[in-house]
Amino acid sequence: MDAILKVDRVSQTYQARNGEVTAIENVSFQVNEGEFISIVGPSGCGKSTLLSIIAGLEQPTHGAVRIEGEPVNGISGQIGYMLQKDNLLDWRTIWRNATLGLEIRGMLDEGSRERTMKLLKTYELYEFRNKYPSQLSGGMRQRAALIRTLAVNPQILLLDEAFSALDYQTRLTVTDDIYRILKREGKTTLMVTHDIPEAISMSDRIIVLSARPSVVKAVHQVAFDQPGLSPLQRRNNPQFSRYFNLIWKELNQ
Amino acid sequence: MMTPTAAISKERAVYLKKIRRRKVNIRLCQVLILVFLLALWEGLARAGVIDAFVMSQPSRILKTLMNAPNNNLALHIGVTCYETLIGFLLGTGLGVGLAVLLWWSPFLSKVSEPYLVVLNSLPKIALGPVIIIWVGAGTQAIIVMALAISLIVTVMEMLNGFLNTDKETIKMVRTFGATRWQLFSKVVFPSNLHTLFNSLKVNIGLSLVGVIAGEFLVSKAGLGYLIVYGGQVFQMDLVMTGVFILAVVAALLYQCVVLLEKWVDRRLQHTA
Repeated sequence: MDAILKVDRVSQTYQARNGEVTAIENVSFQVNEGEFISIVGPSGCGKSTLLSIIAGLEQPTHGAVRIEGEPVNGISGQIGYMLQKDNLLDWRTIWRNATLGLEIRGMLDEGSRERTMKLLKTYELYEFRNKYPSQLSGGMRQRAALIRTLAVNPQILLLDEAFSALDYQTRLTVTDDIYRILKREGKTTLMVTHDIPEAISMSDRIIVLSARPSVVKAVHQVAFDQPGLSPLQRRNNPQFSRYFNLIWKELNQ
Repeated sequence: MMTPTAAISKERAVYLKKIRRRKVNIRLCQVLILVFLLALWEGLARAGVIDAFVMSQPSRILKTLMNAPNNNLALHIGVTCYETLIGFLLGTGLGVGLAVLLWWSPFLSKVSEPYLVVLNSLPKIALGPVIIIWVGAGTQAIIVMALAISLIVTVMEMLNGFLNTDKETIKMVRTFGATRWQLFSKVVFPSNLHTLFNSLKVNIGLSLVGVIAGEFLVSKAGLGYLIVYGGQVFQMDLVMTGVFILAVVAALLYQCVVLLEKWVDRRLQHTA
């Protein structure tokens, strides 16, 4: 498989009046097409900085990010970004929220409308398209946010602690939901999380970052005996705790 | 969602009755206080305890009101409303415009900070004589006064609202590559509609202050003129009538803003 995303010796140093802080140092990895990769690390280790750089929101001090060989320079149209909160706009209907990205990129046409309509239909939000976000449950809102991200048809999806604002119960179902959607749409996904079980339940590979300044500490291939398990099924698999203990130890060294 | 009205439980009926009764009680007390004060005023004046010539009295105010065609009340009300609305619209419009400009350029915003602070605390009425000399004695001076009073507050309030727009939402829009204008029109402005309406509510009162102060200084008509004139010729009935009408006008203008807000809210179904 080809690497769709290459992070090449990326470092980020922030300048402040009282000194400089190195958030991440010399981080390199590759993501293959269709892969689901998680990045875990202690809190405040610069995981989100890394995602911001990949999304083109920030310029790294050193190193480069390449998507299909093209260096990322500014906001990339290839990337979809999902944040902790759904950030749906209260004054827009679900439909107008779902098409917000298309609207901003000036891509709102017959084809993209139809694609969004289809996404809403497939993921059971079609009947709610004229409702407002406040009328939806937390899980539905997160799904609507995902559709907003998918509507612009990104190649790579970045999930920035995308489930951590949900309560535990909702979180498990939403994780299952979103995993299913991403696999079905064949999206390459890079997820940042501080929740080890979440990472194990969804990922093909897990990258462990150290505390600040962050370097790549280890990379784990997550392979369960039975392929194609859903996140919930993985949580019930006996191998689950083995991975958990392994990564837990690494993070606490 | 509320339960349908068909099947109301006994507890709910009691609860509904309770809140309804409370609402009625509050209204009743409000009206009674007004009636009591007016009756006290009228009674004391009739009994000769207070001098109706100095204090006026409700029945005389009523008489002055009934005499409206002869003392040009409608004209005075019209002039004051007109000046207030123009000052209000100009103050709000310019204020919001400036706030947008300062939001757009953080550098400009930093540079203007001390000026805004000083201008905000400066009593704008002190500028009255300057304004009269600069724009001429007349309606224009009064409108500029109303504008001056509401402008800086609007700038500061709106800018503050713009700058406090949810950071995460802004990041979300930025990940789609939004331009600064898109950021403003799609997120920053709509999420500050409540700030705008708060500003409008404050401004309608402030514009009225500006207009009355202006009319005190320089005018040939308006409620401020009426009040000053009444004071000069020692017609307390006219002064009190003027103040009474002013209170009603202020309340009505405020209600207009509230209705406008409700209407906009309904249009947008902004239920959050």
